[in-house]
Amino acid sequence: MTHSSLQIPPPSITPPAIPRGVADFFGGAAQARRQAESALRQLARLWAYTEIIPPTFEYADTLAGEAGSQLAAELYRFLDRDGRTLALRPDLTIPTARIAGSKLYDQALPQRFFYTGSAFRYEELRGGRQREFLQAGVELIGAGGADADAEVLALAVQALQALGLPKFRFSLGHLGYFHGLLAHLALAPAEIARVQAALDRKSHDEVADLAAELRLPPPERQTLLGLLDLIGSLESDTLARAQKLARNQKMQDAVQRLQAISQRLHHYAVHHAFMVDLADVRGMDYYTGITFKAYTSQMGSSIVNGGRYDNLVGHFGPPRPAVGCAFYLDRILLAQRRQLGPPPDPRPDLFIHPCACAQYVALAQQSRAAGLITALALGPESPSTAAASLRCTCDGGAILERPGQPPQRFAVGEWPHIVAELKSLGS
Amino acid sequence: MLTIALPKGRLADDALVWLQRAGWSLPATDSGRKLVVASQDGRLNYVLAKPMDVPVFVEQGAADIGIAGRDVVRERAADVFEPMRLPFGHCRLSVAGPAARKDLPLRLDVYPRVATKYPRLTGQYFRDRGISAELIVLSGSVELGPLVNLADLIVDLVQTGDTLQANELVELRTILESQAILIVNRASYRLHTAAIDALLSSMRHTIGK
Repeated sequence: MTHSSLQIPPPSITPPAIPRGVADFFGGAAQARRQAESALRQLARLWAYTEIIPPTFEYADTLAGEAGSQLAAELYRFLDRDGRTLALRPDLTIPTARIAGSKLYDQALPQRFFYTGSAFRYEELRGGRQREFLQAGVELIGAGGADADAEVLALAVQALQALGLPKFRFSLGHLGYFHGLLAHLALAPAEIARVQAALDRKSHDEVADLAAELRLPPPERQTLLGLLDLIGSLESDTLARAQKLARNQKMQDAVQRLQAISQRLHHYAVHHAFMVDLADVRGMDYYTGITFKAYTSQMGSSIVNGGRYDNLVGHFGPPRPAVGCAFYLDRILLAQRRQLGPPPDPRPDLFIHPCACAQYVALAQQSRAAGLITALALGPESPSTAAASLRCTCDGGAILERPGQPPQRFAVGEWPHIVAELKSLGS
Repeated sequence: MLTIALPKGRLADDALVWLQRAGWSLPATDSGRKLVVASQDGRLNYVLAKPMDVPVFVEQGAADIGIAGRDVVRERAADVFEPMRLPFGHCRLSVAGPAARKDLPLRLDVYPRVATKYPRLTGQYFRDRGISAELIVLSGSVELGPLVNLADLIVDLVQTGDTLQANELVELRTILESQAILIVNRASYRLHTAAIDALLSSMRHTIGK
């Protein structure tokens, strides 16, 4: 919000606190959120994704069962009046999977869903994270091939473009490659966690130390360390090198899948937005195939997270392959704000002064009908903040005042024409 | 141009030596009191921060790269890439106590008071061992704690052990081995891959020699 021109002292009472991790939105910030949501909704509609509106809270078991064990620690839990534990949704993917698996299992496949809404996680507030955060997302359920992967990836790129982010980059990985490598190395679960943490930090030295500590034979050591170098643009030789490093069918399959996706991303003409990172081993527990994240400048954490989760829907119904992604709209809007400045506050196009003959009502309704944002000058708002102001003279005429122009006097009958003109000037 | 955050003090001196050996030019002016200085050739932008703050600068993306001790990166739980270790700043984060208690296991302590500059790592260490410790968070001269009966134990960085000895303390446990590491912001690495890889490989090459 811009600073008010009104000289009003702050209230003398102490303002009520709000919990950590939530925020109030108004003015330009609120409008920017809604506009971002509608831009995504519109785009998703063109790609045949229909909106799904899951409940805000559900039984905790549903949200934190096998489906989302990793999220269990971050759930906001509370008791229903009958004593059962409820939880606020930590994402919208799990509720969407529940609905698709348990209610829409006999509907035509694939099913495409778009959602937007708040999700809740009890996490540390850093890097633009909030505890109530706005997510929008798409889920493509019932299609398991590279075409489905590429569709979601291309849609995600277009979505960031639609949101007007000037610069961003997607990082694309495939957990199948890492899982194939783990199978090849035959490590114990505790060892896997350590390897995963070292890879996630991209710490060559730590991975090398671990490989030595775990007594991996030299060729396996080379493969594990080689994983850290499998990063590069889609045009680079990264996938070719990954192919050479592959030690089993699962790893081969992952590379082939990425190659097929890469080809499709070229056809969508979005390949420049991508880099491959096969050492990206972080993601939701439920991911099984490709994983991807998007980054933008001045925002240390990812702004889009997505991936393939072929086993999640099966927790709630017949197994279905699925792929999707979520847009962290708070972080995207924050990045936008840092890159492009705060969004402008919404303001009326026109102020109309009430008058004794009440003709102003008709004038206001006509300008609203024509699409001009019209406010009655009921209070001390300064009409100078509006592009125009209108005063009825109560003799069948009215005066239109615009900044930088002489007042324009006209008969009220002409108003619809003048409104049309104002509208065309504004747009 | 990449922005690199360096910790004011000894580590920055060592870091600059290695950056120069790897072919990167140093801050253009004798920085004096300025905290943001471009390099002579304009390829790097140097930011000088308090050591504890370097991981935060990098995690938040205020700097693309940083050089920091592993101890402070862990203490700040910074979510950053850590692609390489650097050959300086070796030390360890240790639990130390009065020489008299040398052989008393920590687990027998009931509610020990532990003075430290590292509340997160210290808290974690004692919690993991089922000991409820009272953390006394200080911003310096931690080794004073037991002397003035402010604390029973301390958790602090140990390089040579001289400071401990001078204050009649002995090292009891090592929490973490530390050295300087190069850290990279996760988004920067995706957005400026080529520039960051160039810096990493030049450093790796120089250190490998």
